[in-house]
Parts: sequence; structure tokens; C-alpha cells
Amino acid sequence: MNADSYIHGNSFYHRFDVRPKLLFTLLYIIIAFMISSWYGLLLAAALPVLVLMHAAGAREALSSIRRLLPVVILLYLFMPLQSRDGIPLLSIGSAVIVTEEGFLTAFRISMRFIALSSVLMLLIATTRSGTIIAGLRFYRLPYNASLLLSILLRFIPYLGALFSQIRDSMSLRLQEGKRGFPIMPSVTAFIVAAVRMIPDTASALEERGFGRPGASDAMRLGNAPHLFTQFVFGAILPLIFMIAVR
Amino acid sequence: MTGRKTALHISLIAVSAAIVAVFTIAIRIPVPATSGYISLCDAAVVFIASAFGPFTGFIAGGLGTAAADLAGGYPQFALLSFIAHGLEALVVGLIAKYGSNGLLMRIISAIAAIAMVAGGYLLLEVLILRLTFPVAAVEVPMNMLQSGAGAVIGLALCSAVRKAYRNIDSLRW
Repeated sequence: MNADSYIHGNSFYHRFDVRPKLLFTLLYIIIAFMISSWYGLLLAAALPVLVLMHAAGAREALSSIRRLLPVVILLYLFMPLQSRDGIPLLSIGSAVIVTEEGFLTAFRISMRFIALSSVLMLLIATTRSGTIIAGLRFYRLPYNASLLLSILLRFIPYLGALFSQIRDSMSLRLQEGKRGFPIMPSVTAFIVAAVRMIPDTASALEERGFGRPGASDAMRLGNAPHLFTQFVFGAILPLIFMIAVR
Repeated sequence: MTGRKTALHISLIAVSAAIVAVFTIAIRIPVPATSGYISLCDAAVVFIASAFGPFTGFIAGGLGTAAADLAGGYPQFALLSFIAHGLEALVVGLIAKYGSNGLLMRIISAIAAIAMVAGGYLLLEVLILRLTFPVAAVEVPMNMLQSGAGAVIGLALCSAVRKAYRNIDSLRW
């Protein structure tokens, strides 16, 4: 089990520092909700998908889009039926089934949904989770919260492997010919093993200097080359995009 | 002393959130009728809220499900999961803290969990993701089934783990 969706690469978005990248992501999400023209929304959805294709490869980008398809299909099935105002596009007899307004509303919502999902996907596919936490720390995320997140990210794969071991050993207890694993004994054993780690983890934190002055400095990011320029791009590019297509 | 307590609280919340994430990602029970599956995240959320209290439940339940959404390729649902499952844990934790340990309270806990998850996702998908009401409502029966099954398993787990590890109550705060 992997708690990190990072895809190794050397694209320009991979090299973009996490601090301006977080600012860019936030601004892009806000702007996606402010754009109202159909071509602007189409571009807002397409842009992060294209960058994701460049940064992580076409296969990964298409796999991300495929996960969004059920919601998008549902939107096109239900939304036009709700909105009856505007120019009719499809009628059966005197009953109007789909109007231009209904279709455009479904289009706007689906494009915003794809834009929001793909820009977030772009962030987590091109940045390691530890770096994202360090970036959030730059934006004044409290030290204790940063520490909690980093322990969480380390424990997910570890506990995932532990659960697999317990599940495999429990499946051996099943009668011959039966498949699967006994759920209740497996999850009970897993939780007991995980809960026993809590006091040990607390002691390990103390031993590593938790609570002492200067302990929080370990999570700080250093200076990156052209950081100011990257910040300017991270803030200005979404604004230029919004002015151009709004 | 305060430093030791804070270290213990951070470890408790982090390990609990990791348990929720593992339950969400790794444990999936297939539902042949719909060709879908039920994840056991609600079982972990209900267990943690009942065993460790409402505050631990809220943070661990919210963070664990949000982390699983991020890792599983559904980042757009991370905020929704944080709020819906966090509130589910908060309500279940408060019922466990101030209510009795009887069957009636367990039934009320299960109903509260179902209401918070199914109602929470419906409302948040409409308000935050701007999905339309009929589209968001499609998920309601599945969410009710998942949270209902999760609540029953979570409450049963709480009793089973208490029997196997008696020190668990010393971690509650």
C-alpha cells in the first residue's frame, strides 16, 4: 500500500517549487469557479489534464480522467432534464426533453469538476507528500499538525503491510477449499497490533526531541533557485488566464 | 508532562487515522448485486470514535478518509470525506461518551452514523462540488448501506478489541 501518489519525473511542473505550486493550485481552483464562458471552462479543464499528460504520462492522465467519468456521465444524464428554459435542442412531440440552457449548465458543472480534480491530481502526482507538508508548513500550518501528517503518511504503508500479513495468516485457518479471509478476527488482530504501537510512537517522538526548542526547524524548506520568480508566475498565470477567458 | 501528553495525543491521532485509511483502501467487501463494493472505513471511524472519544474520532476519521481519497486518486472528494466522516465520528463519539453502553445507544449511534454520512455527502456534493441534487442523490442508498454495515461492525469491533487489549481505555481523552 502506498500513501503517496507521486509519479517520478523531471517535467517543469516537477521542478516547480512546492510553495508557489500550492498557491497556483489554490488560485486555479478559485478561478475555475469564477469563469463562466464555455470556452474558458473548456480550457480550464483541458489545461491541467495536458500538463498532467506531459508530467506524468498519457496513461496516468487518462486513468485519472476515467475515474471522473461516472460522475460526468450522471451529470449529462440528469442535468438537462432538470433545466427546461431556453432554446429546445431535443423534443418528443410537444414535450421538450433537452434545452440549450440545460446542456450548457451540465457542461459548466462537468468542466469545473474536471478542472478541480485534475489540478489537485497534478499537485499530488508531481510532488512528494512530505514536500507538500513542508510547503503547508511554509503557509503557517502548525508544527504539531505537520508532525501528525508526516507520521500518518509513514504509518499508512506500514499498517497496510501489517494488515496483509495478518489477513494472509488468518486465511490459512479457513477450511480447505474456502477462499477469502475471516473478516472479524483479522481486523480485531490488526487493530490490537496497531493500537499497541501508540505508546511506543509517543516515546519515540520524545526521544527524538519533541517539545524541545528547535525541534520544529527540521520541517522547514530551504531557499529554492528563482523562488520569487516562481511565486510571481504561480500567482500571475492564473490571473492572466482568468482575464483572458472570462 | 504536557510534552509527553501532546506526544501521546499526536501518536494516537496519527495511528488512528492510519487505521481508518487502511480500512478504506485495503478492506473492501464485494457487493455482487451492484457489482460494486463496500469499504470498511465507517467501521474504523465508529470504532475509533467509540474507543478514543469524539475529538480523536473527528480528526482521525476525517484525516484517514481524506488521505485514502488522495492516495486512491479521488482528491476532489478529500474535503468532503474529511467533513462527512469527521462529523460522523464526532456524533458517534459524543453518544458513546455521554450515553449508556446499552443496545438502544448502539442503535442510535448506528442511525447517527448513517445520517451523517449519507446526508453529509449529499449536502456537501451539492454545496461544494456543485453537483445537482439528483446526481448526488444517486449515491445515497450505497452510502447508507456502507455506513450502516460499518457502524454495526465498528461497534462489534469496539467490544472485541476491549476484550483483547484492556489498556485501550487508558488512551482515551
